[in-house]
Amino acid sequence: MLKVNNLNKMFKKTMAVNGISFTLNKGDVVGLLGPNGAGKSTTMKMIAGLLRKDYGDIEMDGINNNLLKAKSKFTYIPEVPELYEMLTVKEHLHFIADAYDIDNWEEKATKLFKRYDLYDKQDKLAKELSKGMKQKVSICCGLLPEPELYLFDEPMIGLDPKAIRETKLIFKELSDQGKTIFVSTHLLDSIENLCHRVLVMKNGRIIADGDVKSLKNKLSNGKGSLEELFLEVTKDE
Amino acid sequence: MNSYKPLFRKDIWTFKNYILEIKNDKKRLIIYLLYIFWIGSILISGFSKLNKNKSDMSVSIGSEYIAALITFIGIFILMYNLYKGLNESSTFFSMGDVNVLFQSPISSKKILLYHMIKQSIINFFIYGIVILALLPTLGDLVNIEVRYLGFMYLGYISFLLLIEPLKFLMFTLITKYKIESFLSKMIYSLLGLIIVYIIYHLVKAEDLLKGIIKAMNAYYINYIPIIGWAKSAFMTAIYGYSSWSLIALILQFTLLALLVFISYNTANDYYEDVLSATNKRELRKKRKKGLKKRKNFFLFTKKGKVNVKSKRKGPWAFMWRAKVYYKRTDIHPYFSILTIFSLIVGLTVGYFTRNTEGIIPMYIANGVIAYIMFLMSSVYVSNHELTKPYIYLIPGTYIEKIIAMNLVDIIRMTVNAFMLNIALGLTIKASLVTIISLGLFLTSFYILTVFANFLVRIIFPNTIDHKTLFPLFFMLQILLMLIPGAIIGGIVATLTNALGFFIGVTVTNFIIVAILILLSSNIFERLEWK
Repeated sequence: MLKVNNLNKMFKKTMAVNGISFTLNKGDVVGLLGPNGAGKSTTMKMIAGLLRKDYGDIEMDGINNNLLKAKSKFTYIPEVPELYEMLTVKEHLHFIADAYDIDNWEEKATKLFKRYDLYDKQDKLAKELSKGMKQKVSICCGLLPEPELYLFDEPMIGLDPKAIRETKLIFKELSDQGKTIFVSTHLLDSIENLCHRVLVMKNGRIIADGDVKSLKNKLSNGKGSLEELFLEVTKDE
Repeated sequence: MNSYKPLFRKDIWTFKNYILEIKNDKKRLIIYLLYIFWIGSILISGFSKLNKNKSDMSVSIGSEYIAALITFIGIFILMYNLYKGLNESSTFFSMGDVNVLFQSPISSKKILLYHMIKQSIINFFIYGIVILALLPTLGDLVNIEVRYLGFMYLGYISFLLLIEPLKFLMFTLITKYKIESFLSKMIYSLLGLIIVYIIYHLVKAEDLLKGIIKAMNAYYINYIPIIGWAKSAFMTAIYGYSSWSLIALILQFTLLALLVFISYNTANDYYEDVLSATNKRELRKKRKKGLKKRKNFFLFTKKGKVNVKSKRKGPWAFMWRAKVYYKRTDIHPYFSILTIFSLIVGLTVGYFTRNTEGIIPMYIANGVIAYIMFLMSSVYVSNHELTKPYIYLIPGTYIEKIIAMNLVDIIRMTVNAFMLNIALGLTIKASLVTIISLGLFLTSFYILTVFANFLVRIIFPNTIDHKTLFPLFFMLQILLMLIPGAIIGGIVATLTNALGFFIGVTVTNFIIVAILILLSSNIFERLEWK
């Protein structure tokens, strides 16, 4: 589904992403972990086409990620939910429906609104919403097009417990439908229960790649929590 | 679906929501009507002055000055933007576009074209307010032919409309073809050429003012794209129509269309380029609302560690923080780039008015600066500290907090006010009393604007749209606080002399400030952190 090959990105003199390569298959739920400044968001943004890659390839089903054809194959839910301040919640979804040419969008949007407790807030302007509410709208915008690949950058930040649970359920449902999810997060417990595989980044490189169980076995003979594993692999030499 | 349709529909919804907001909150209507009334009064005042007769002499000098000033400002704005364009693109987008629109399967070229055209149309009207506001002043200086006002407007607008696409295209070419070094050399060469050209005319004319006017008004400047073409169209309303006026205007808009066309065909991977500019645009909006502190002159920004000693604790931490900020971003905690500017303005005004009888230039200079301060206060709300939680949380008395929070800014302003008045006063041989009185006048005016900020936040908490309405209320607030000073100053001036007016205003301002400081506990208790 997604193939990233030798991806590089430099900001002035800092190597934000340093030659990373990985492949995500259909139906994979893959977590992207790493300390602050590891290059997770930069990687996500490059896959979404918001940042230019200095070197390397990103392909979705063999199509370059910057081509229009590839853009219909994924959605990206950014870390900071910046919306159109003067559009209502419903108009955001309507706009997405227009942009992605989605049929029968209202029915799908209503379902999402109900799951995220936004049903009675459909006519509120984005500028009137709290940060958590904006995050919910941003997630709904990402879910509406029902693409093949979902890129979530810290999706749980600011969400209330019910919305977090709903998001986890949605991840599970999407995975069952054969959709691919690539999620960057700091909430390690969600990774442990949801993700089939984790990629750990540090200083722009992938320092660990595998399923949670095998990584645990490799580093601590299966003992200890994911948190301990994370701290172990990301600690400074 | 047509790719432009969702974009257009989004803007229609946005417009509709603005209308609905006004409909649901009638208070807004009053404010918007006040804006319309303000623009209307400018127009009436401007048009009434257009038909008044002026002497040929004053018209001739006035038009020469205006033409030179236009060229000078045009060169300055263009060169500044070309320089900025080396490191940063311009933006036609919001953060909403970055997060929602950019990842959608709509062609990036189409997104660019749509937003460039939309922004040009909006700016066509928004930028016009400035020229409308200047119309009365222009009408005082020169005869303006009403039938050619359209040329004046389009000349001015076309120049401003060209800047952003030019900057965008320049940055796109830099990232695409890696020609930063080449373009940078070109820009510095151009700047060097302009400086040599001005120096040549200064040496030739042997007079500063004459030299600059001659350099700026040379006939061949009219044939230079962007600046000259805009100037030719602008001056049509003053100099009269010639066939070149129309040709220049057509050329200017053709160039704009060409820049948009080239941008459309060149930029296919510009999302990253506009990210930083879009972020900065959002920051500027926040600064206008007082949510972020304004940036100081970039040349003085220090990234490393700065040392500021702190002896007093509690609310005085605000003073330490302010000193650290200014030490990092400016020349010195108490001396700013404005201090140097004040010195230059004081010496320049003093030099050109040294033969004038009396100290009227000092009154005018201080009056103009107070007026600019008043206008600027409506554009930039200064007290960003109120938007942070510390002022509400740090233990200490409110009087201490209010003083500690503003003292560094007040000292900086006092230094600037005295620098201007000392430089100007010594050049035109004004008395010490005059220098001190006028220095204190500007300082008191500044302190009043700072306190007005507190009051307006209490009277109009966040229930209204700060972006559009806060500055207006702020301006009204200052105006109300200035009225007592103006009345007392007027009375004192009638009883004594012109200096009495400034002393009267200063004393009244300080009394108002003292009352506000004494009432600070009551003021703070009503403030909320939102």
